[in-house]
Formats: sequence, structure tokens, C-alpha cells
Amino acid sequence: MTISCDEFLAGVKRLITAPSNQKLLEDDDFLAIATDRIRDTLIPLIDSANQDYFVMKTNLPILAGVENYSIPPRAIGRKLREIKIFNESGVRGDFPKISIEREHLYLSSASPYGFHFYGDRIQLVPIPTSDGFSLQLWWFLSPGKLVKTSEAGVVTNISGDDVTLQTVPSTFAIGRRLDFVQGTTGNRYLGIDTLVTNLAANTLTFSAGTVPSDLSVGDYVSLAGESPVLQIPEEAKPYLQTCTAYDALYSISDFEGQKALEFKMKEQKENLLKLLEPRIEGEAEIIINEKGLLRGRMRRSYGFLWRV
Amino acid sequence: MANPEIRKFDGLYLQANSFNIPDGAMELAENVVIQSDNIVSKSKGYFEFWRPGGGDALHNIKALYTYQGKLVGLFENGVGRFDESFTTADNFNTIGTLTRNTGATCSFDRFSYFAKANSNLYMTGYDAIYRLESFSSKVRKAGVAPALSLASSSVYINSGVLPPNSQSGYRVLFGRRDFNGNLLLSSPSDVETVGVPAPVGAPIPAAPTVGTLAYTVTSNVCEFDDTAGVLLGHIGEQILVSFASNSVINGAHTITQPFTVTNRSFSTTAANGTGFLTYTVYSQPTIVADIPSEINDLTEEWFVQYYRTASSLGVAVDPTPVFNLMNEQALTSTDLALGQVQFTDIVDYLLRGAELYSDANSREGPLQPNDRPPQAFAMADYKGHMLYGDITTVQRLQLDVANGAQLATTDIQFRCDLVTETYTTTINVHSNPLSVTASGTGTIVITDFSALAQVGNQILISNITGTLPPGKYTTIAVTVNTYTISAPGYTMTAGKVAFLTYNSKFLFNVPSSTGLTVSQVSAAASKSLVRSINRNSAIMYANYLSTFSEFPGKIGIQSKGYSEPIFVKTSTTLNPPAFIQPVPSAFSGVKQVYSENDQLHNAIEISKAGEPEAVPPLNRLFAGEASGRVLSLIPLRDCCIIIKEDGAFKLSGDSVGDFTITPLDTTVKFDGLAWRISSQINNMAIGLSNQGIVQITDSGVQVISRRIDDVIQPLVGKDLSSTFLGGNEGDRLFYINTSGINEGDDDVCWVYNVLNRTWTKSSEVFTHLALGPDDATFGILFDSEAGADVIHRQRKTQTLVDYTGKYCIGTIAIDASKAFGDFTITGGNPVTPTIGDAILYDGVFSRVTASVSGSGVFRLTFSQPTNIPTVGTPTVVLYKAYQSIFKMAPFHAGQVGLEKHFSQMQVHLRQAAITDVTITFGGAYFGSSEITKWSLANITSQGSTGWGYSPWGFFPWGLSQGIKLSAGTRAASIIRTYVPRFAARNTFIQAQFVHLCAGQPLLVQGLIFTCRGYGDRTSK
Repeated sequence: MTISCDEFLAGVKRLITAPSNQKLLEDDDFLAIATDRIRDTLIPLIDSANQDYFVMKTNLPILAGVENYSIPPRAIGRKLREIKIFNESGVRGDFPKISIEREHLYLSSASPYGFHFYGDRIQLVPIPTSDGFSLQLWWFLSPGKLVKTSEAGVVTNISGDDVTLQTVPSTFAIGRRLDFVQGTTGNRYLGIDTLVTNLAANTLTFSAGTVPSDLSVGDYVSLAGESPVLQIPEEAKPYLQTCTAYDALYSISDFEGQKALEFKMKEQKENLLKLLEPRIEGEAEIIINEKGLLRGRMRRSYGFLWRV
Repeated sequence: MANPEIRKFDGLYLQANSFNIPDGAMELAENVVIQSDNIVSKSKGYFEFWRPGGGDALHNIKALYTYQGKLVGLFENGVGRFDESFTTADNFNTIGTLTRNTGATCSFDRFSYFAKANSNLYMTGYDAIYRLESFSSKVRKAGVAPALSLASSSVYINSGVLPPNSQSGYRVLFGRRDFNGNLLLSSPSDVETVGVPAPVGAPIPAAPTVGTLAYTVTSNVCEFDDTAGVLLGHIGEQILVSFASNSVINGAHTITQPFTVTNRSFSTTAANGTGFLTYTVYSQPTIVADIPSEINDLTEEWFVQYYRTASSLGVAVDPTPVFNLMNEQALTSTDLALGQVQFTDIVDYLLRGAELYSDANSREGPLQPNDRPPQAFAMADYKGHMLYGDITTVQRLQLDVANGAQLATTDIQFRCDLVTETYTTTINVHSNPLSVTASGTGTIVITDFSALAQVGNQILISNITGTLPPGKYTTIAVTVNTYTISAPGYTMTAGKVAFLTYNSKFLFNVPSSTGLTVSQVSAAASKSLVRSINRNSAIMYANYLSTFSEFPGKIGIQSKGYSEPIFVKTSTTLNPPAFIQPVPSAFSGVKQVYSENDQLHNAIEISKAGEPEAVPPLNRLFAGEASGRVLSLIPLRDCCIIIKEDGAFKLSGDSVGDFTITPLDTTVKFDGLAWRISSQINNMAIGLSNQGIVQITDSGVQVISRRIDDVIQPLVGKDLSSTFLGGNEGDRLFYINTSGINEGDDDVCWVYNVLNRTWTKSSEVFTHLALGPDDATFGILFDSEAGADVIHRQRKTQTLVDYTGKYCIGTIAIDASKAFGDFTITGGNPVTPTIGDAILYDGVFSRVTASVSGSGVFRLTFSQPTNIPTVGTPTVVLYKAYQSIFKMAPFHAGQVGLEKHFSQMQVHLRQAAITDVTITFGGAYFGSSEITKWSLANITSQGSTGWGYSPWGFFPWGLSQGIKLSAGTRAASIIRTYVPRFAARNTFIQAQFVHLCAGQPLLVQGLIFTCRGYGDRTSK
């Protein structure tokens, strides 16, 4: 069951009996607090379970002479889950992280061998002298900033690159980049940062071929980085709700109210962690010693890629 | 400190340290009142009651008063009353229909005072005190015009009422009973003395023959004429014989033949003889009284009363000046047309009636005439006496004629402002009534051998044979011994004519001095001049002041109104002079003789008890310094407060005899240029002074505006011409409409609750306030768009409709959802629908949340489904909302120096009396915060606590959208909100509420902040 931000808001207000008429904590304020709570509490908590909840992958062509590439802007913590490399033939292989201290040992090759982080970028080692390679970045996509459903559109029809919405928020315009958010439980991004090339009545036209093939009627379209629904496990909603209420009470100096919520928060957190891990109970992860005597020798060969 | 509560709302505090005043103090309180103690209520609304139409004969409404249940309006050019009629079926809206009162030409302004006494209404006008006897009656000047000059003639008969050898005095009064049964009597007239000759005797020289008629005397000792020149001794009169040689003939005998100079004939059956003949006559006098020109309406049923003294015991002996009523007669149309009334006295003195009220000793005394009220700025009825303050009397001038014969040689001119009247004698016409013959119908030719008339002469015709009404006529054609008047349809064959004018001059008569003394000539000439003035003058009345044995020729002149001085001159320089006063022969270049009046700013003139229009000149008291004007007279239970420019005084006592004036406070000063600087409420006076707004009682003066001194004290010395104070006793509210404190500021209205002593403010700033029917306040407000003064009426139906403003009537088509309606205005006040207004239908308000106009139709959106039928286009009334604002004084929870977090605010209501309110907060760092719009609809989708419109309706289960009032505490949503960011963290906080919904009384009785102190650091 999808949890819309409106439902979530009602839950928070119910929890603290927020006045129906007030200007201090408007809906956007509550959602901003909740977004912050997602980022500073929920994501670390869920991430700590190591169950790859927010994982996403992106293929990035490697061009001759280009020495580094950006980490995807919307990656959580500016970190990657994994990097793989495709050679000119489309064969995918591991793309190891090389320590900066040893980087000079790999500069003689014309093909990229590995990488290291260069600030917020991925520095290839060595710099390729020809095109044809590409990177496959595995990263954690941050859940969207929570917005009211009125700030997103509900898909009513899909036709090629044209997507028709029930109502088009005033913030949507030609040239804006939008996200496609799954309208059913899970609420993952079906596509992100998709460019609007035309807007006619309630129909948006996107760049050719960018409309996700799995987009369905009932899904949402929102501004890039935003979401009208909670993109966390439904069971995390009560915890997020309590955390948001806790922060709201802080904002009005209702410390007694906060104290009353603390026990509840602790209990909800513990329960949530129990729920999140393991993500699959019947299939334990097999641990493979990649660098063992039997599997490690061939990986040390320069310029060779393994099929995974 | 977590949840400090304000449960005592105390109105405005604009003077004291705002950190050291009650928590319930306010800094802004507009259109709210602390009606119930400690509760903020919306003040009642006003709607337009009347605005001048193009055809109104009355211009510029100035003042209002409720008299006999009707609203009476004083205008710049008259008086009118307003009939109130309902314009809508719900009986909540009325309009005034103006009807002008007939009568005196009069003018009023905003400072006009009203007083009710003897069931009449008295009003101070520009030029006089005016009276209404009923709301629809004529407007009359208060008081009765003075009785004027008298004249008399006598018929000597055997059995007249005045005995021989006597003097008798006559005076008259004019009077009427007004519509309310009050007896109104004028001041007494002049005294007319009628003398009857003493018996005159002569010896009978020879014995007359018994039974014969002729009796011859040689002495002419009996020969004397009366003033009419008639030889005494007429047939039928009586003659006495005494000391007769034949004693049988002594006694009374009847004259059988007119006397001649030498013949006295009487009949007797006695024997002849000699003796002493005594001739004795009685007088049957006819008294003629001039009627003041202001007594001219037959319907007013005026009467005249004739008073007579007892006859003295000698023709040279003054009668005792005790006058008794001998006769009263109604004035007829003939009397009014002739300007005089006459009475032939045949009343025996034994039948005398009441004494004249001005009789000395036994009655009020000669110095207690029923003079008319003076022109006065202030007026009040106190303990049955009408008090008049800052008075101006009529112009008075006394002329003493010392040589009446000289008046025959000159014209006498009187000039008042632009009017000049000339009085003259002439030999060409006669000012005495003489018999004439006449002929003709319509055009009547009068034959008069005693006159050489001119075209344009005014004549007085009386004793008419024919259909011509007696009265004044003007000659239109003349020949020798004839003159013609025009009287279409009327005939006349005989009558008496007296000439009033000749050559555009008013006529009077100076008798020939032959055979008369200088005094007799002066007396006769003076009396004639007085009568001519009274018959002709438009500017003055005259009295002949000499009485009994006083020096003759005293003429008193008084102006008819409170006019400019009356100057007098002769046409030629007289030598010897006619007057004792140095009357000049020109109106310029020489010392003038002119009338004077009293302009006494500090005087209080007091009427007789129970006779508000009778103001003897001696009933006068003075308060304070002479130049300090009396601005207001405010009667309380035990005293009358006198507001003067130089202080507050009180008049105390129970009757005019023991009235005394004592100062209450002479350090408090009042601005004489302000229009209405004070008024009364709750048995006290309230005034705007140099010390602020003060409450004045019989025990002293107390400043009551201390709480709002900062907006009152700066007014001292400013132009306060817009100031008007007035109260509504029923509302316990007193209104001070006055100027703003800065140049160019709008005028303001401060509202004071006299019971709980709280101050608030009203946006309705009227130039005049009055209490009207239903105890509602009526106000006059200048409408700049209409360019005219408009009357507004306070709503006082004792329903929630009272909390609405203007209204408009229209038809409405409700759509099927009942959420919308198309409203077309058809009448009512000139307003259009806006958000916050409400339509009242079947006793339930439907609130407007949106209004969009198009093609003359307003598309209205309602806050909830309306109860107005969707069928047809019913006619409904839309009531306007008006804005109420109140802003609390700084709330610091007792610690100003502590930074606090004001997180939340609750407002608790007494009843469900608010559906929407806009809230902002001020504090130390920001003047105003973000706006919080509180709406009941956000709390409950119903938006009300009622049970719906039908079939249960809002009654009796819930009342929130109904119009009925309810008492006590009822269930009501609490207004709760978070304090916005700009104001939340502060050392103090000021909540401000703006309410704009029709028909909601607010009723705020609790304000609670949730706050927490968090630091001592309040600045860098």
C-alpha cells in the first residue's frame, strides 16, 4: 500500500494534535522535517542493515582522454555500492579501487585498469587513450524529498514519449527534469531526471526514449528529487512519523511532549531493524574468498577482463 | 510560566508602561467593546437609515433627538421627523422617511441642545429656542410674544362698571394651551388707566317747573368733554339733585334731553324748587389690545385675558396695582386680521377672577414677567426649571418723549441691520378708524372725506358692512376722497378705515396741543407711536411704559428676535428736542442712540418652575469668569453640572430661590471651539478637557482617560471642531468622537464603558450622535461620495443581526449543490457582497466565502450548503461584515528580560461566536508576524455545532449560525494555533486579531500562551 505524503502528514498531526489553523508548521515544514529525518535517521538505519534497499546502477561511457567522472548527483552519501567496467566488446569485469599511493604503477597502459576517488569524482587509472570502454556505477539512490501529492501528477495515460497526468502542477514546465515514481508499494523511482520537451494541456512530452517502459497508469510524476509518496518500507512509516513529531515538538519547545515520544521511538527503531535484516530469510549470502589461492591469481593479469 | 493565562480583558492601555499593565490590556481595540466584564465583544453594527434625496426641502441634517418615539432631525433650514418603516420582511432593516414640520423658519447646527419639559421638546437654534408640542407639530419659538400696548375708550352711563371719580387700571395677557395642555401666558401688557370724572355740581338758579323738561342753568361748570369730545349729559344718564329748596326733588333723576351748554334737563315729579345739581356718570370702558404679530394662527386657539384693578377713590388717585382677571376671550380670525382685540368691560368687580401673576406682594411680582427664553448656547431641564446658558437677550431701547408736539414735525426712523422703518404723522390721512362708505364687488371703492390717499397706502378696515373680511388692505387707485382696494368676490358698503401707511411710512398721531398740557400731548403721541410700531413693525415691539402717575412718554422698544442693534433717528433736527435721549438726525457721523442687549457668556437664566418658556429677567445666576462661555449644562440627580471654558461648576438647590452656583474645579478647562465637549451618562457628566477626558459628578472632577492619555493629551490646543460626545445609557457606552493626534490623521471615536471603565475604539466616527427609537444610537456621518450627511442607525434588535453592518436586498438563485448562489441587488444600502458577509434566510446565516461579480450579478460561494431554497429566486437580505481588530499589550509572562519561546496560543470563547479570524503576532523584533488565518471550517467540516438546516434546523439544538442570542458558556471550538517563527522567540508577544464576519459577537474570554524561557541574552 502506497503511503502518500498527505497520509503521512495526517499521521504526524494526529500524533501531536497540531492545530488545524497555524502558520508555524505548515505542511511543507512537516515534510521538510520528515525529509530530514529520512536522511539523517532512516537512510543510515536502513543502510546499516546492508540489504541494498536503495541500490541503483548507471552505465557511463568512458571517453578517450577524460580522466575522471562524477559520482551520480543523487547518490546517498556521495558513495558507490560498486563499479564495474565494460570493454569495447561489452564484456563486463571488475574495476578495482587502486590506492592513490600505488596509482603511478598503472600509468603505462592505454586502457583503464581501476580507479580511485578524486574528491567527488571517479578518477580512472590510467587515463584511457581511446573510446569504447564504459563504467557501470552501482550506487544508492536517495529517497525523494517529500512533497504533497498536489505537487506531483498522477499518470492517467502513456503513449510513447507522451505521458498524460490527472493534473499538472504549476511547477512543471518545458525544460524541467522530472522523476517517475512507482505508484504502488515500494515506490521506487522508475526513471529520474527525465527532460520535459513539451507540455500541452495535461500531457507532457519527454525526451525520446526516456519514458520508462514499466511506467503505469497510477504512477506519479514529480519534480526531480521529489516524491509525493514515502520511498521507504511501509513499516518504517510509524517510526518516521514519530521522529517527525518529535522534531516538530522540539520546534515548539514542547520538551515534555518530546520526552513522551522517546521511548516509543526507541522501540520502533529496534523493531524496524529487526524487520529490515535479513532482507531474505531463506537464502543466506554465500561468502566467496575472491583472493583465495584458487581464485585470485588470474585477476592480477593486466588488461584482462573476466566475465562475471 | 509554561501556560500563563489572560482571563481579564481590560480594554486599551495606551499611556502606562506597557510592561507594567494588566495582561489583559490592549493596544488596539477597534470595533470591540468590553461589554460584559472582562470579555471582548464585537461592537454593534450600523446601517444606513436615511440619506438625503434630491427632492428634500430640508438641507444638511445637523442633529437628532428622539421625541415621542420618533426621531426628530434638526436641519440647517428647519425641523423634520423620520417615520421608520421596515424595508425587509425580516424586520431588521428600516429606512427613515422624512417629513418636514411646518412653522417657524429656523436653523440648527451640531451643537444644538435638546430638552424635554412639560411633554414638549425644546431645541436651541441659531437664533432662538424652539419648541415642538408633538413630533408632528409646528415648530414654534419658545415662549409667548409679549402683550403690548393698550388703548381705551369709555361710554359714560348710569350703571357702568367704573364708578365716578375713580381711576382703574387694565392689563392684558395673551395665552394658549399647548398641545400637551400646558398653559402659556405672555408677559403682561402695558397698563392702561381709565379715569371716570368726579361728580360735578352746580347750583340750580331758579326753581324749575314740576314735570317740565327744561331746566336752565347759567353756569357752565358742568361742561366738560371726554377725550372723544362728546359732551357729557346724555339722555338716560343720571343726575343728582341735592340741597333742593324743595327737598322732595333731592335725589336721582334721569336726563331726558341732551345737555347743552346752558341747559340741563331732567324730569321730576316733585315740586319746583332751587337747590344744588350734581352730575354723576359711570364708565363702561372698551379696552383695545394690540396683538403681537407672532400671534397669527387661529388654529393655535389663542386667548386674551383682561385684568383690572379695583377702582381708586378719586380720579386723581392711583389705583392699587392689583389686577384681577375680569374676562377671557378667544382670539378670532377678525382679531388676528386686525391685529387687535377689544373688550367692553361690563363685569362687576365682585366677579373678579384670579390675580395677575405679576402682581406685587400677593403674586410673583412685577419683576417676574413671563419673558421668552433668551437665545442660549446651552440648555437643560433641571428640577422643573429650564436652564439657559451663555445667553443673549433681545435688543432693548428706551425712549422718553419729553415734548410730544415736536414729533408732529419730524419722521422717526428705526434701523436694524438692513431694515429701516419710518414713522410719521400726516394731515392727509387719518390713523384713527373713521367711518366710511363703500361700494363695489371685488374692486371696492371707499369714500372717505377725511383722507387724501395715495396708491400703495396700507389701510386697516374694520366694522365692515358686507362680506369683506376685516384686515389690512392696500390702496390700488385713488381719487379725491375715494380710494380703491382689490378684494375679489367680496363686497363692502360701510365700515371704518384707519390708515397704517402713507408714502411708505407708518402713521401715528400727535394730537393738537390746543387745550392739552405738554404731558398730555406727549402721552398721547407716545401711545400712538407705540401702537403704530406694534401694528406695523417687522423688527420690533413697543410698549408704553409709563403707568399711573409716572412721568408720561416712556417708550420701550424691544427687538422681535435676537437681532442686531436698533438705531433711531429723526428726519430733522428738533429744537426743542422731542426726546430726552439725544436722538440724532442721521445714522452716521454723529453720536447714535441705539438698543443694547445682554450677551452674558457666564450667565445661567432660569425659567419659572414648571414653565420652561417663562424666563423672568431677574432669574439669572452667574458662573465663573465673565468671558468663560457656558458650553454645556448637564442635569444630574442632585445638581446641574455647568461646563464652562474656565472650569466645571455646579448649580445646586431645589428651586430658583435657593439655586446657587459653586465651582467644582476651575483648573480644568474646556475648549469653547469644540462643538459638543461634554455629555451625560450614568448620572454623571463626561467632558473633554485640557486634562483629558474627565468625569464630573456633584462631588468633583476626575480624569478617566488616564489609560489612553497618549492619544488624548496631544489633542490639547488642536482644532477640535469635529469633537462630539454622547452616550448610550443602555449600552453603558460613552462615545468621544474627536480628532486624531497628528495633523492629517482621521478623526477617531473612543468608546468608554462607564461601568467597567474600559476604553476601546470605534471606526464609526460620527459628527453627531443621538439616542433613537429602540434605544439605538443614531449617528450623522458625512458621505463624501454623496456629498451629504447621512444618518446611520445602530443595530439593536437583540439578535446576532446586531453584529452586522449595512445591508442590501436582492434576489438569489441557488444552484443544486446549495454551495453557490447568483445574487442580484435590488435595493438597500449602497453596498456589494464581499467575503465575510452573510445572507440571512429563515433565521439562519449563510456565510459568503467568495464573491465574484459579473454583469450585475454576484456569484456567491457559501461556507456550507445554504438553507435558501433552490427553487425560484427568493428575495433575501445580505448583511455586511465589518472589521473588528484588537491587539493585546505586550505579554511577557512576568519576565521582560528573559528570552522566551512562545510556541502556542489558545483563545477560549464564551460561545461559538467566531468562524474565522485572522491572527498575527508582534514582538520585540518584528512588528508583525506571518498571518495565521483561523477558520472553524478547518476543524470541523460542518463548520458549526448545529444539527443542520432542516428538519431540525439550528434550533433548538445549536445556535451557531442562527440569530438568537444565548447566555452563559456554551460549547465552542478553542482557537489554537502555533506562534509563527517571526514572533515565537521573543521577550514579549502581542497577539492581534482581525475579525470580519457578519453576525458574530466574538466573546473572547480567555487567551493562553504556551511559553518557555530559554535564555537571558536578549541582544548582542
